[in-house]
Formats: sequence, C-alpha cells, structure tokens
Amino acid sequence: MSQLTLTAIPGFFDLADSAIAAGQVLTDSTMLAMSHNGKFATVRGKLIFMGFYANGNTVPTPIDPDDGYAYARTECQFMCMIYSNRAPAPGFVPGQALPPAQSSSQAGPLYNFPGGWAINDVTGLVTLWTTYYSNGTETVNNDGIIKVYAICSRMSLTTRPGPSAPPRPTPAPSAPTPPEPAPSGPAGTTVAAVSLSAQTASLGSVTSPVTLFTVGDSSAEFTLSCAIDCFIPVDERDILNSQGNYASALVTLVYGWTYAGNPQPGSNTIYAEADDTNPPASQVPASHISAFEAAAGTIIWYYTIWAVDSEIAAETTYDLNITLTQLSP
Amino acid sequence: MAQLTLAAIPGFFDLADSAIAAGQPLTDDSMLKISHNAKFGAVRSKLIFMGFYANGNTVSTPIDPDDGYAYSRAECQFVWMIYSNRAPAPGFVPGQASSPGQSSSQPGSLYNFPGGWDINDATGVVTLRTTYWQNGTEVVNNDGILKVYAVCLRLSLSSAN
Repeated sequence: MSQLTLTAIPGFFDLADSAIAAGQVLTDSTMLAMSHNGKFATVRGKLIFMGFYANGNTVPTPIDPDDGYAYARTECQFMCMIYSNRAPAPGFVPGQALPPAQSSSQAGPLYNFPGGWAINDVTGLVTLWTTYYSNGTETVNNDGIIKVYAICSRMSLTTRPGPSAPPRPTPAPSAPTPPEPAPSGPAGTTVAAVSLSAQTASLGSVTSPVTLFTVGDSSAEFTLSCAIDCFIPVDERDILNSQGNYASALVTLVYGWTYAGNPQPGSNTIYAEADDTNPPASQVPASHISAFEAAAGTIIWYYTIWAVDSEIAAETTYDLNITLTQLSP
Repeated sequence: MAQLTLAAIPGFFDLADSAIAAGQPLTDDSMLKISHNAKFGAVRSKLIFMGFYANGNTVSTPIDPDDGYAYSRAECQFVWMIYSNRAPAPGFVPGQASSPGQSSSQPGSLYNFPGGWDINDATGVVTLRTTYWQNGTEVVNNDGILKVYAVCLRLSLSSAN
C-alpha cells in the first residue's frame, strides 16, 4: 500500500451550480475548482496519531503526510485512550510513538480515576488527575499516560477550550472545615484575585459574567485557584423546607474563558453545599485548581449561582476566593 | 436511510492544474480523474466498528461496505473504549459484535488499571495488563475487554506503533 501524495495543497471553492448550468460556457476556472474540491474532500478529514503523553505535556499540531499541510490548533481536536493510570517510567519522551514503560509502583489502590482527564484542544495541554486511597488517606497526584490521536478537519474552527484541571475530589466526611483560602498554585504573578465572604446573592450571571481578567497582547499560561464554601448556622440545621426535607443551600461557581475571535466560551463548574442536621457530613467546601494557556484577548470570567431554601435564606451565606496567577511569559 | 454503494472502487489521481488550464482540450481522461477524485473523497476516511476484543486477540482489517474495499493494516488505526476490566465469560468470540458477558469475579479491587492497554496499529494485537489489590498483594493478569473501532484512511501509511 502506498501513501497518497499531492504535489500541492488543494484549496476549496464553493462553486455555484449556475457556473456549470446548461447554456453556460464551461471554463477552466470551473474545472479547476471542481478538481480542487475533489482533492480537498480527499484530504480534509483525518485521524493522525500523535503519540503517548503524560500530565503537563503539550500535544503539538500535526503535519499532513498527504501534502505537508500544517494544521492549525483550531483544526485539531484530540481524543485519547487511557494507556495507564501510572506515571511514565524514566526515559519517557512526550509524543513517543512506542508504548512507554510505566512506573513500577503507585501510591495505593485507585480511588478517583480518572479524576478529570482532558486535553485542552485550544492549547494541546494535557491535564491528568489521579488519586489513590491507602490507609484511610487519599493521595492526589498527576499520574497517567494517554495515547493521543488528532482528529483534523481543514478549514474548521472546531476547537474550543477543553476542560482544565478537574475539581479536587470530595474528601471523605469529616468535621466541618473552616472557610478555606483558594488553594495555592505554582509560583507566578497574581493578576487577579477575589476574596468575598458572607455572600447572600449570586454574583454575575450566565449572560453577564464578572470579568476577572483580560489577557494582554500575547498568549500566556495561567493557574486559576478557587475555593467556595457555604454556611448554615448551627441553629438553622433543624429547619425543614416546603418539601419536608431539611433546608439546604448550594453555591455553584462557574468560571471560564472566552477566546478572542471564538464565540464559543469554555467553562468549568465547582460547587459547595450545606444541608440537613448532620454537620459533620453536611457542609462540603470545594476547591479547585486549573492550569491553562490563554491567547491574547481572552476574557477570563466567573459568576455564581446561589440556591438556598427560603426557610434559611436569611441566615445562610457563602464565601468565595479566586486567585488567578500568570505563569508566563 | 440507504447504504451508499459504488459499482467500482474509485482511485485517486493528482491531476495537474495544467491539464485543465485555459487553451487545453478538456479530455475524457481529465473528466474521469475529477469524477474519481470526488468519489474517492467520499469514501476515503471512515470509522468502522470492529467488535469486542480481549488480551492477545488480533483485530482484523475491515472491508468497506460502500464498495468492498479491503483496507490494509497501514490504512487502519484502532480506537477503543474500555468495556470491562474483567476477562470475558466463556463463549466469548474475539470480534463479536454483541456485548459479551464478563467473568463473574475478579481477584480484588482494581489497582493498576489500565496497566498498559494498547492495540498495536501495525499488527492489530491487543495487549491488556490489569492488576488487583488482594490482601496486601498486587495480583497481575491480562483481564479486560475492549470495544474497538477502526479509523480507516485509504492510501495512507499512517499506522501508529
């Protein structure tokens, strides 16, 4: 079997039917357009093997073996298969074609796995989150190896911000925790921060989110750390709502980013809740760290959704902490 | 919905623009090549379901239902979904289209899973390694079942590994 080879990269022309209607002169430009369209259809859609990758690696964009066409990020979407839950063994090269050796050990039996594995189609950044559970303790790390293919479609704006780092797994029930600060991320420059306590209403909305930051004139890498927590006072925990259930409250933080020139926003959601009469199990804070690359002009935003039973609304509040750190350039 | 059917397997021709330039006679040869290129573009790339497979099985190459084209290994890449961590139940036939029964037991809780699962695109061989945690000991075997699709691209030397 041979490899299809084109001497030039074909274009595509939206040839009007009227150009080849009866009574019309059949021109060379029409014939060329038809010829190019046939070639373009042949090479347009494709699956290209990209190799094996681990957390933090960046999957590049491929070159088409048919005609040397270099795909743009917007023309590529990545799909992956889980090769291993473990980290690669030493000697691993991101993108290597051969199945890599895996680490000879792991922290314990699998617990949260996969804990939100994704490749950001816009940046190619691989984010893997894996947890183990051993001796009553959950160990969180970024173990894992994936086998990646690019699904390519020329002349497409198909990519959108993929999900970034997953929410931290909900810990096993324990005593109520105090409001927590946003988890710390890698060192960098804090470019935006939100620290609000005792909130009693939603902040922003889906149609009018709160702008957290607008990326400058070049792309950059960011870490966004956020934490939310909501509180029902102890003396409110025996109150029933109109359905006869214990009144509860739930705050959802939606944060995301809208890329310049791409109308499709990307977003992530985390939530914290508090309910019922059993404090040790009922008040669940949430924290989250995302790592992503954002192009120039990208708007990073957030809004909250506050849902609280009216019976306890007057006394129930939530805290919100967000820190956006720019790692590069 | 009907199945697209071609009476013959179309070829592809890298027709030079100069062959259909102004001042050149438009030949049946050029028209046939353009026609074939359009047909080829319609059938070139495809996702074909290959069935369910376990460790040590070999995924075959598919026949295209459009025109009976038999894909070579170099034209196929296999993508898969994890159907089960367990081994198939007795009676499993590699490549069967219906969802297979799985073994009624496993040695313990999942530990290293998947522990290096892959289909070699060049050979079609399925390799699955799975481990379990049993009484403080890691038990290693080749359990697992995959649901496999072939991503086919005619006239390609695209096989992965």
